Amino acid sequence: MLSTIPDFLPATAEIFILFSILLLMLIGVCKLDKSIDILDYLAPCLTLCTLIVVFLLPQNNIYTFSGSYINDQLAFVSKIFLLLANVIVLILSKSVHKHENLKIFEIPVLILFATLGMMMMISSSDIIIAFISLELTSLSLYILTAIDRNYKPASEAGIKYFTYGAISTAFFLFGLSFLYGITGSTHFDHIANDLSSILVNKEDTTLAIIGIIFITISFMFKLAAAPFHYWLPDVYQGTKLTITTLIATTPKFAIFVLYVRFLTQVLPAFSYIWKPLVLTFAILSLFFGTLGALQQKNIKRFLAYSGTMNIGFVLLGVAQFTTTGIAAAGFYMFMYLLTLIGIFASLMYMKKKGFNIQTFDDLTGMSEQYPLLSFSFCIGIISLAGLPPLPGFIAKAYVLYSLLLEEHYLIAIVAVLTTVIATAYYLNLLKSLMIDALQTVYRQPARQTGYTIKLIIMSLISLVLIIIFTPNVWMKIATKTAIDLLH
Amino acid sequence: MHFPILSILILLPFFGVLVLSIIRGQDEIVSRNAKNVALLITTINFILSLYLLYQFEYHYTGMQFEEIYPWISAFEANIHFGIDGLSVYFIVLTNLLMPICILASWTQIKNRIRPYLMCFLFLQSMLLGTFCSLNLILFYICFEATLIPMFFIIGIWGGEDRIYASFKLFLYTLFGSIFMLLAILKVFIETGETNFLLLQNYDWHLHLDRILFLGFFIAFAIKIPMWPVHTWLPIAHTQAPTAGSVILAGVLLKLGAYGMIRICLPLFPNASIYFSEYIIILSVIAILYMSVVALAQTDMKKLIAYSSVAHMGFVTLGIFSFTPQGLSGAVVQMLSHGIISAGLFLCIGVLYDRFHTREIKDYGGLFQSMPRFSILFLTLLLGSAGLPGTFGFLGEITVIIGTFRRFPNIAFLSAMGMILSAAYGLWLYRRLCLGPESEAVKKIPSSGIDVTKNERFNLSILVIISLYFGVYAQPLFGIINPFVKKIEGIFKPRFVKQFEGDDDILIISKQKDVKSVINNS
Repeated sequence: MLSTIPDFLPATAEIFILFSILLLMLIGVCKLDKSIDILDYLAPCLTLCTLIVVFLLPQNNIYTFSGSYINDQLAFVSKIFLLLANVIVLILSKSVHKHENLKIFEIPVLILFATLGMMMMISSSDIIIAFISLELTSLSLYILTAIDRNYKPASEAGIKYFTYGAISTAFFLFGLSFLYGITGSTHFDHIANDLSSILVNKEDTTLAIIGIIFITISFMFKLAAAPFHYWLPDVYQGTKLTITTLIATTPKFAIFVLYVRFLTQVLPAFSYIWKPLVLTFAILSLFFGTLGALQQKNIKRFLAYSGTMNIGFVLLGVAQFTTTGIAAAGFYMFMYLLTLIGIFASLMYMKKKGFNIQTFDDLTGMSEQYPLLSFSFCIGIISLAGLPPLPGFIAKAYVLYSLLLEEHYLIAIVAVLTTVIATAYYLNLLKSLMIDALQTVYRQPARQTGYTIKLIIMSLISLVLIIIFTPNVWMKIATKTAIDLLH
Repeated sequence: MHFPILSILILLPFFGVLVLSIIRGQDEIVSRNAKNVALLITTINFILSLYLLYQFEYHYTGMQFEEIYPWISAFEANIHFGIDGLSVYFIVLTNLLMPICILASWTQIKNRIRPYLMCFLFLQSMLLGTFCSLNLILFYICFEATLIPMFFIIGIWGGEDRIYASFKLFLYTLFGSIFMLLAILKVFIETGETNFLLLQNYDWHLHLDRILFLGFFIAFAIKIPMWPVHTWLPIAHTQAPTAGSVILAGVLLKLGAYGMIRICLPLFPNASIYFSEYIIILSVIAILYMSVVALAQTDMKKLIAYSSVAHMGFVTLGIFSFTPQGLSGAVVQMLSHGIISAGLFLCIGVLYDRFHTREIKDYGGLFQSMPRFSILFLTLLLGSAGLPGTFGFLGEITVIIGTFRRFPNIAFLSAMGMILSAAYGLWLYRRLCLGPESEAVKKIPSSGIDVTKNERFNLSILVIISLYFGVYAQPLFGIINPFVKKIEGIFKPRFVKQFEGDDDILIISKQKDVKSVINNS
């Protein structure tokens, strides 16, 4: 740990993806006419290679760069999920960008940059690395949001995303400066030790509390928890479908992982401060997300509000600060993102067919023309709503179980009541898709599609169905990670 | 390891869903093949369930055909199936009504027949899962999962107001059962166990059982449905397609009462006794008030729906009277209502297919053009009214006898409900089938509108079952008794006074037929 030459081995995956990005940029700049096609195929392949590298890395040496970089169980599990999700996003974006006017070679490069940032975020054990990786991810996403210069809503979304993101970054940095000011260190472990000694010696904790509040608020911004969720629907609505898929899924997951790591490894001593804080934001998210979604007619805005509501559930689990709670939150997040990617993939499939699905009404009649597609869409929605027998229910029950274990009865009742209201709008979506009769005449698909998206949708749906029968496997991974994190 | 017949019963319809989803070809061929496949699978399931009944050990009190597979270890939720005297007849009932439902929709459902059948098969799978499961979490999942196919059945193939009806059904039931989920999780946290059988006789401290009981009870009360939370039922029935109504009245309503007997009574005996008087009052209100409401209906489907609420009132009355007769009467009443109300909804479906109206005032004098139908309809209506010699009488009289031992006044009031049910039933019959032919009936040429072979087959099966059990009920009580004795064993110590010197409390089981029941009482 103290040697002058750092051990690069634990960070091999990140280094690999960095060189991949450089290679892709070179190809993109050199061969202008065919470079995009090459990049389209190369980017998912290289991400898959990174995944293999993550798998092959030895698990015994977890710290490097003087302890500021960590590659533990949490990082391992999260990176696998992150990279898999990003492979899917890259493949999806490859198959629709022709129809979205997004044939720009920077897109795969920027997605990979964001991936690099997220991987670093997951592995960071130092506040400077955490900040740099957060910025790397955010900046790539800002550019991606506004990359289509001729599409006005995209510019609007980009400005909004950038402004809110910058504010939240400022909050984050400000909060970190407090922690650094008190402890004089940037390492997670050192800060944690100093903070707990402050509590033990009964010194003044005001500055630390202010710092924690600022950091929590900045994370709530990034996770789009209420009342800091207002940017999310606008950003979703303004961006192209490919980019929305990216923004909605993996960055949230990486930020969630960083947040959990921050809470459990830096601030465990101050859990009496952040527990009620997170719980409050969780309940607010449940309320605002549910009530906001009730009135939505636009699918993307609806998904944004439902995202806020689901983040509320995740935060409920996190706020318990128990093994069960954190495992439940992780499992919930995993299930949520899995079904969300499935739903986005279905939307992209329709997009590729030539249907521009914006509102609920645009879905009408799809079930008669594309039964299999609407079936998988249904599975996604029902699982997102957390209705049995789909695995979304198991995740929801797990979070509720962690709440009841800590005897938060009232909060559990509030949570289930919002679930009932939330089910009403998920049913509304199902109604548009399955029940409403076809208003217009038979809509001819504009073009034939390949098998790529179909294959992705089918594999996601089969994964969801597999999880019903093997929940133990997934929950054990979550529990093992949570135990590893807390002890 | 014995032959896993319960898993096969549950998975076969599920397999049918998969088969239906891969049928390819032209629309007509697809719909024909889909119907054949669905009918084949449900019939095989029915035959399997008859085999199950044949293999069933009548005198054994424990669970039979038990199967256990590990599932979610975080909640100790295993896939644990097993049946006893309580559940075996419900499995047969479900499997009996499913092929009837599919036959009833053979020509009626014209659009999107394949997803329709998939919904029914999935529903069958989940219903069987509910009746077989011995684990709270598994029970909850199957119990809740019945909502999704029902939502689509009513929502896609229902009447004009179908969207309102399906949303109301779904949200109402979900609202109730979500508290059951919390109660189940709390039970698991408290005891570390989610298996029904191991949870019996658990010693709850600090009246925790009362809160948990309410969590379960609200869910089941909405599903039954009991009096003030019944409002989803009439609208769901009126909007559902015929087969949807049949399965809703025939099996889905029984899930609630089944849950009460299976979970509420053995797990929370003290709380059950504590709340029993309130529940009995609600049941009597349901019986009397809903019967009066049924009298006032102008829509015949609504009339039968309200009468269902009244009949289910007898069930809750019997369960919470805590007498062996009351309990076995409640089970019999559930089964008889499952057969008879399913038949009545089929009859209404027959009429609706021909005249396209559900208003009673549009009908009259059907006996002249549809004599066969009128006879079948009359038999079922009399069964619903509880005429001696029909299945309906058996359940109601047993419940009343059971209640009489603890609450004579209540028994008297609920007997008034039987009179009212005869009143609205016979009055409905008079308005539909007797008297001069109405305008709407005259418009349709009277020749050849009587029941078709298909409909006659469905209705005759139900009528024959209703009459058979009406006169020979021994096989029913014989199977239910071991279970009733078990429940009685839980409650008897708590009611020592009521049962003192009362060893022949299972009088009903010793009776060979209904007439002697009357004499004894």
